[in-house]
Amino acid sequence: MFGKKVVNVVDDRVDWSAGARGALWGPIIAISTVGEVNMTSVNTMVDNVKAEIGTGRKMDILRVADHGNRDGLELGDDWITPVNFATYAPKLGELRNYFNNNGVAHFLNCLVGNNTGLLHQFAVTWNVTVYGGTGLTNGFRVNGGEWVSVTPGGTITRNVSWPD
Amino acid sequence: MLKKLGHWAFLASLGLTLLFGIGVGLSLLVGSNAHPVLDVVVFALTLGFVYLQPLLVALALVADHTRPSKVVVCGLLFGSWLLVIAAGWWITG
Repeated sequence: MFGKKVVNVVDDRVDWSAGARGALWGPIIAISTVGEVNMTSVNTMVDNVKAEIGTGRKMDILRVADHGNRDGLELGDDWITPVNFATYAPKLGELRNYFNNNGVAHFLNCLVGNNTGLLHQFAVTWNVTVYGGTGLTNGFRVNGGEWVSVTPGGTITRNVSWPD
Repeated sequence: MLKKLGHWAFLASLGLTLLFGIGVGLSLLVGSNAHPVLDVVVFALTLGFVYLQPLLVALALVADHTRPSKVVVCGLLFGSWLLVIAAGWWITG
């Protein structure tokens, strides 16, 4: 009867630290998304997503849009890597009960699909399958590589389709 | 009939470009979801610009390409569309 509950969370600020090519990516994703949730840090991401869900339907898809590379990914001003993940895990873990059964998290952040260790940490923390792209994600959300999924059990599947 | 349609397509293309520019400018200034109406309107303008702009320009040109000034404006409108599409592909996260 109802479609899937998708929550898009975006850092929509112009970010010159990402270089000329990345500065406007967040605003472009925000402009081409309806009803997105904004974030400026891990804390605001988690709090704003929780506020968006409230007591309503849980998420089928959490779609995150911020910058990334092979070492880690950005959530607002926070840069998350496998090394410092534990610092953010308690706050991120607050979202665990906001996912539906068979819910997924989808990172649009560039290159994070190469870092399956980090994706696995997210998968375990949220108990959902997590997706990331191995290439750069452009303004049309096309990833130059392939989408990779990682389950909480550690199963890695390459060249999967866009989770929808 | 075709000429009239082309005229409206030309005006629609001009209006779409102008509104898209204003919408994107406003979104950059205040955030695209600062207001739910702005969020939806800018989303619709973006979809319209990306998918309709070349069709409107083509229709305007097919209907009437006898006036050089109109051809130049159509060229600029199409160029602005190309620029936006190229930027969308080039800009990455």
